[in-house]
Formats: sequence, structure tokens, C-alpha cells
Amino acid sequence: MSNLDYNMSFSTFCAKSNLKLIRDFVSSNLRQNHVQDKDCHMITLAVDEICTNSIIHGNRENIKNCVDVMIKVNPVEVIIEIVDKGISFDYTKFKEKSLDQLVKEKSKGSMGIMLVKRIMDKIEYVNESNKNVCRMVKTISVM
Amino acid sequence: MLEISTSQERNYYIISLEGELDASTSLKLDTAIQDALQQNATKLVINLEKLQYVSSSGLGVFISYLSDFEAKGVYFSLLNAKDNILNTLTILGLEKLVPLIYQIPDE
Repeated sequence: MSNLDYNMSFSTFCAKSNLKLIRDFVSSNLRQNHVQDKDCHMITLAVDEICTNSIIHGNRENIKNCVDVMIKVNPVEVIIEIVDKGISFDYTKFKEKSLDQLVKEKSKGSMGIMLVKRIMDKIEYVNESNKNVCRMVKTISVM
Repeated sequence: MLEISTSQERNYYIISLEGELDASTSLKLDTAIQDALQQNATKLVINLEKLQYVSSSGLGVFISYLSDFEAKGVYFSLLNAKDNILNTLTILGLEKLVPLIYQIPDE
């Protein structure tokens, strides 16, 4: 975990069936912290997308591995950290495809990171102490 | 959880989704669309009225069939999407590729 003082954290094993639990954890905590519904929905979606990639691609759905989600809410932003020990994702090599390309290729993937990039204001992937850390920030207006 | 039911209205084949469409449930939708195509549906509508949530895994299923629909001349549209579903669709610009409708079209 980084030096940031996270308010809330949740850890679960790497199974797609746990995505719902992760979403419930994120949305309920954001609501408790008075984050507006639209921001709450968008941030929850971004976390789902990163965790989906972590569970499926980074950890090959190995239920012996865990994914951790941490949230910090302050009056102007939500900071999320998602941590796992799976295969690293090189965010710098991600090349966005156009929708036309995805349709032509009959692709079912590639849109998760596209969504996250459009939703969050800042995203960084780092490797810290042999862990993959995805840190994301979203500027918000609290109710 | 995702519940899927199918129905027929005139010559429209309707797949209704209820619950949450994510990486853990998207395969069910994929299977339902394959079934529709195997039954030679020519007008396919996905009813999103009771869908509470969609992630890119669910939208990816739609995207992966669009070229098949075009090749086979299948009419395809999304019916009654809630605001949060619409937000997700429009972030990616999917509304430019798939008609978003609020009633089954008149013949």
C-alpha cells in the first residue's frame, strides 16, 4: 500500500463472481461520503473495469490470488488504488482502437481501459514492492 | 446476477435483461444472441428496461455481433436504457452505432 491514508479498503479473491462485491463496496462507501450519484456510478464502473482486467488477465482467475481496492475521499477528489500480485499490465503500451475497428474485428474487449481513461482524471500503473498498483483520481463535487 | 428472458412482438425477437451485465454474466447474453441468430431472428431488440448496470464486458458482446448483424441484414436496437446505462454507452460513442429506442418500431 502507498503512503496515502486510505479511508476504506476491501480485499477479495480473483473470481469474476466477486466483481459485484467490489462494486457494492465502492458505491456504498462513495455514497456514505456524499459523492453524487453520477460520479459514484462512473467511479464504480472504472474500478470494475480495472478489477476485471486484474482478475481475468493479470491473475487468470486464480482464486488463490487477491485483488485489493482502497478508497480515499476528500472534498475535491476520490483516490482509488487497486493492488494485485498478478501479471503486470503495461499501460503505456495500450493503444486505443476506434469503434469501427472493434466492430470489424468482432472484438469483445479493449473497451474497459477506454472507459476508464474517459471517466478518471488521472490513472497511473506502477510496480511497488512486487505488487501492481493502479492509482486513479477523479475530481468530484460533493453534495 | 443477470436474468434473461425472450419474447416475440410482431416480428421482433426481444431479449430482456434484468440485473447486472458484467464480466461474470456477459456469457449469458452472448448465448442468448446466438440463440436468436440460430432461430433466424431478423429483427432483434435488447430490452434494457430492467438492466441496472453494464460494464464494457457487456457492451463488448453487442460490439462483437454488429458486423454479423450487418452481413445478415439483421435489424438491431437497444430498448429503454436507463440513464446510467445511457451514460456508459455514450462515453464510448455506441449510440452512433446502435439505435437507442423507447418503443418497438411501428411496421
